[in-house]
Amino acid sequence: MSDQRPLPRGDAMENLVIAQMRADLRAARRRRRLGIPGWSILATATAAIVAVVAITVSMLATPTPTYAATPPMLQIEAAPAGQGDAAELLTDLAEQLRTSDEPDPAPPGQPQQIDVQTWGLVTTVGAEGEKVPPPYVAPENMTLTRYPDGAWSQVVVAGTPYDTQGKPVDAPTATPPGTELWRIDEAAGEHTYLFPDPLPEDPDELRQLMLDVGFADESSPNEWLSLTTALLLERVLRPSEEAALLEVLADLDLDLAGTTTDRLGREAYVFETPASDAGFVDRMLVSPSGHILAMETVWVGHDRTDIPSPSVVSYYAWEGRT
Amino acid sequence: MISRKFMSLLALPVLVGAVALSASPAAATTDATQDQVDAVIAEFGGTQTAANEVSWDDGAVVLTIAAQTTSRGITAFAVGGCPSGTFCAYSGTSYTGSRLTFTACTTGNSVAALGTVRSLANARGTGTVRAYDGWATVATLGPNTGTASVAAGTDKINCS
Repeated sequence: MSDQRPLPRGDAMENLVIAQMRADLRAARRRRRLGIPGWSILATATAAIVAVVAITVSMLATPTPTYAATPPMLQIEAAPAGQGDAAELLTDLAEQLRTSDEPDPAPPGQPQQIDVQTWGLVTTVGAEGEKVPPPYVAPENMTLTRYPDGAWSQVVVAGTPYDTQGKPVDAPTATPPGTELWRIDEAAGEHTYLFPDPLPEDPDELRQLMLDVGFADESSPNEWLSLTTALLLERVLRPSEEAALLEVLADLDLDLAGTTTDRLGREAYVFETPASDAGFVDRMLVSPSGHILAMETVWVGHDRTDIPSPSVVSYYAWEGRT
Repeated sequence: MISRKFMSLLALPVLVGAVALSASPAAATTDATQDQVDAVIAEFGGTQTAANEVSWDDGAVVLTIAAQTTSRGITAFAVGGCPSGTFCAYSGTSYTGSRLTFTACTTGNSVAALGTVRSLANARGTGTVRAYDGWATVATLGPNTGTASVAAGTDKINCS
């Protein structure tokens, strides 16, 4: 805990100086009545003006912190009346999915392909010299393919960079959109899956399956959403599987933050966790038809100097699951 | 004998030295790196002994093409997007989410800034990276390898 008092703001300092000038003028009048020379009043006033100018200049010269570019925060509007309870809404959306006649997006025996736009804040630790973060956000487009024999492919290409307001930018130093950044191809048996088998459609069984994968703290809603993200990066879910997942998540301590338009232009409900001990809020965006569209992590802490608070530190926006 | 022309290769962003070779399913090689390997072999002979290496005289001389960032920001060699010569921790599985990139082997690099660690990459040519949950080792990574999912609870990583 700091014992330093906060410094007065610039306008407060100015008021202090002006008050001092008035006090000096009153004293000068008293001195004049007593025969004190006027030059001392002029000297005092000059010193005060110099002080005001010095304060103003020092404020203008104070360097503003250089923050890493992060995506704009989602614009979240209050949920419609009668939809204030996260658990109830998630349960309703799950029921809607269960009773829908949506076809299985990934029939057995077919490769499953997951397309997702993703971005994550990169922090370099221990680099010599100052590392200047790029003044733009460089998302990546990732295609994950899971083959019936267990083979795995992950291809990551550069997306279109945008500024902190979300507007596309022509950044000469950015990797051209569409450029392959890296890829991983693993033959059958080489990739370790967290969820190797189709998911149970019963929420209790699915909850147990997720617990078996492992948590550092199974009471943390942030970890449940993190594991949900991992699941959605591995498997294309049938509507009944996704319904069971929503029912599992309905038991968490989530809040319905409201509705929004996600980074790919889709309408969504926003469910969010309380802030974790490390200062992170995780958000899950779900479409009105009950599909999980995106996940985001927002830092809301107060002890970092590389990003302002709050800031988006990572997001996933699923574009296609087939 | 190493020719003057070969020595001119040292002007390229490369490292020459004997390194431990490691085949890794997670090691990813870009076309740019392979192009460099092909160009070196075409000009000077030698044998490609790894995705980014060419050897001569049964490994007496090894050319390792180091990480290269072009003017357009493309990192030429990496494990799961982790720049070559560094090791990385990710908040998401499959090398996604927020990333901490470490450039030096100091003791007990905290990963608290990520909140949670779900995958790891060691994009260094030599040495190992270990992840810990308290005092327990939860993952050990050889050179140029990664793990796309790691047990929850990792709180620090270090390398040797």
